[in-house]
Amino acid sequence: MATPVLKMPDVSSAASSRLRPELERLFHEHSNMLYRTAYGMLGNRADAEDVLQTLFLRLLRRDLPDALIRNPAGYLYRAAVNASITVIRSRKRFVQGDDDTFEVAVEDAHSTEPDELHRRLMAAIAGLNPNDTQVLVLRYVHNRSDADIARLLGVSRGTIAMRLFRARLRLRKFIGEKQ
Amino acid sequence: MTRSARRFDDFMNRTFAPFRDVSGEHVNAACGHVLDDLRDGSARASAHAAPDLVLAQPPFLAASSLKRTSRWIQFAGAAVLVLAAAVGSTIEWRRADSSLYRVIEGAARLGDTIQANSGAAAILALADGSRVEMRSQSELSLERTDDGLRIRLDSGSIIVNAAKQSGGHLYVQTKDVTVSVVGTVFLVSAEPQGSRVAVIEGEVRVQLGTTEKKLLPGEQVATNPAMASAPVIEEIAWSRNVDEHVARLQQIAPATQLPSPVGAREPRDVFEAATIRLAAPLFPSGGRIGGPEPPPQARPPVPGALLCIGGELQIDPRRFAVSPMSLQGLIGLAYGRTCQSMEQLVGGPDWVRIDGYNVEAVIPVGTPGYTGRQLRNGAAPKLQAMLQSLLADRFRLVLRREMREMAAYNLVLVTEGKLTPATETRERVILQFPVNGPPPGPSFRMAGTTLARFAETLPMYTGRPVIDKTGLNGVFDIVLEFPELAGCCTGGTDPRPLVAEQLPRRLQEQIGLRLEPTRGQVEVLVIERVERPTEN
Repeated sequence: MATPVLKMPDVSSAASSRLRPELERLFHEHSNMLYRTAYGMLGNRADAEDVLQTLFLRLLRRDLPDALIRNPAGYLYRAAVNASITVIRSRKRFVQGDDDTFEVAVEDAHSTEPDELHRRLMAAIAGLNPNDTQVLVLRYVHNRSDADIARLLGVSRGTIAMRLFRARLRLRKFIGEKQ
Repeated sequence: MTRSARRFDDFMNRTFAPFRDVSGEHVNAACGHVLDDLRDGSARASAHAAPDLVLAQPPFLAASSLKRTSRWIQFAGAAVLVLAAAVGSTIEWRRADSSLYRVIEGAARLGDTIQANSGAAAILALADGSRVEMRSQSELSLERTDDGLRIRLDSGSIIVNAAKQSGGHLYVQTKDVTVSVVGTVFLVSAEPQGSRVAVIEGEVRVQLGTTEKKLLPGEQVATNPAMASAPVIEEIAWSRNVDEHVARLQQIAPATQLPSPVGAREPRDVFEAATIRLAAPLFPSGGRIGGPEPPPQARPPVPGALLCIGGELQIDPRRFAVSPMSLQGLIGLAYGRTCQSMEQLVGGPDWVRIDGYNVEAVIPVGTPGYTGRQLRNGAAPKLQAMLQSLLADRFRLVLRREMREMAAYNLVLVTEGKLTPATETRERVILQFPVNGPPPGPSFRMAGTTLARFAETLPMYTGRPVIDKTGLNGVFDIVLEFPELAGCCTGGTDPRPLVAEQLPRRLQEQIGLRLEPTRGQVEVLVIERVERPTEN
């Protein structure tokens, strides 16, 4: 009698555990931009990798949405911003030390670690309307022009200008400017 | 564009610059890492998961404490199965999205073949209490022997946590090796080109043909010399219990071989791999440790001050990199002396202080995650120990501690009532504050701290040891502000010289303390022996 083989069944479909070719292509085309987005918002590599991986894990389990097919760059970018916002909002108030941890007071000018200012600024930005956050990140993390941003997000340049203006107003208190 | 919009732009550009200008190499490496994981599809389960437990709907990208493993959680939640099989009994598993067990029809019997499908590791619980963790895609069967039980591993890898055998033996057999144990934890891999055995705890006997070899913790053997060798920690990285295994390995690691009387007292933690490359000299004329020398006008009046280590420092979960940094700077990092006076780190040839080195190293799996600031502040013990080992191995560094009388400061109380009692009992340090942002400019804040701890921080500005002589035992919230330095330090200017210059006055005005020059016995590190680094 043949030896029985007891296989542990996957709870997920076979398709969901593999990177399908179309997803791999999307990854190659957009991962650089998505990672830079997450890194710019989160300030550290581990969290940025988390976001990138999570985006594609979500896509593994479903058919590609129409919005993604129509505008993959815009869709994925929005998803990366939103996922990064989720991470920022989940962070507790920024206190890095614990009982045994000692942190000095002045930022090292040469450090590439996320500094307190960046964290506080991103916490403030994460509190904005996500549409405004998307525009801010494209402008200041990716250094994109209004026209580029409008093209990527599929909205008019006027809308971009309005969102930037609105974001600037809402961040005014944080920035400490009187406009 | 209006003036305010320009100011907004300037501020945003400045704040995001370090994150915008990340190198292509960094991005490619990170994306490649993620892609490999996605392609692999065998998500390693979170080390934070409870043993034997399927992950239940973990929060999406939770707090930063999960950062090193959170990448795996969602995938694991979808694909991880935990299999509990008792020999002669049933096989059970439960779904990630359910709290219910399911039982496969029929029992797993001796001789049955058990496969861990793609997705993640599985765990077999044997009737004697032993546990066998199977890597995904592994395949094994169980057989009774005259004196115990045999696990026949056909392919893949397993980690066996063997229970104490009462008079019998547990064997693991592959096509070309047999491992016998009494009670221990070890890894066996059956690969197409041969087998590999590595011990995590206890000892095992490995039978290769007619040869028997005893393996101790941290040791491994491969049946085919062509098989690539990797540290045991790497071999077990797929395990759900990797942290536990790493802790075991570290506990029983042999005593340090460091030649340094200083290092010999430290644990022998090592990087998995490291490269050290000579960079351009930092300061041909000599000078402070690490980063660029402050402009002459910014130098503080205190001799020897501002020895804090500069240089670029990156610590990702598994990557450590500095560039460029002098050996003296590296010693400062390794021994928590990044902000001490030059007189506390003496000896050795000039190149120790002048030549810059770029160091890159791989941090072993399971090492606690540290920030660069923790390392600079001497609060990253494991990483510091790895650096100490690296310096001892590659630079043949030998250090000696000794007490020397030298210039120092006493921190004394001159005006009562200016210190603010702490609002929290727990000591919490704080936080660097922006130095190049908008007003109020740089500030130095510590919450819930003793004055002794506060004094420990001051050498980064004074350049000399500071001894707490205030006689105050309370816990305080300390704030020193430097409003006139607002906007002082754009363009990468180091603010510390400017802060140092004003420190004595601010101490007295704002918290009623004074620095009084004195001489006292201070511990110094003496470089007894050092060589240029060995080849990578």
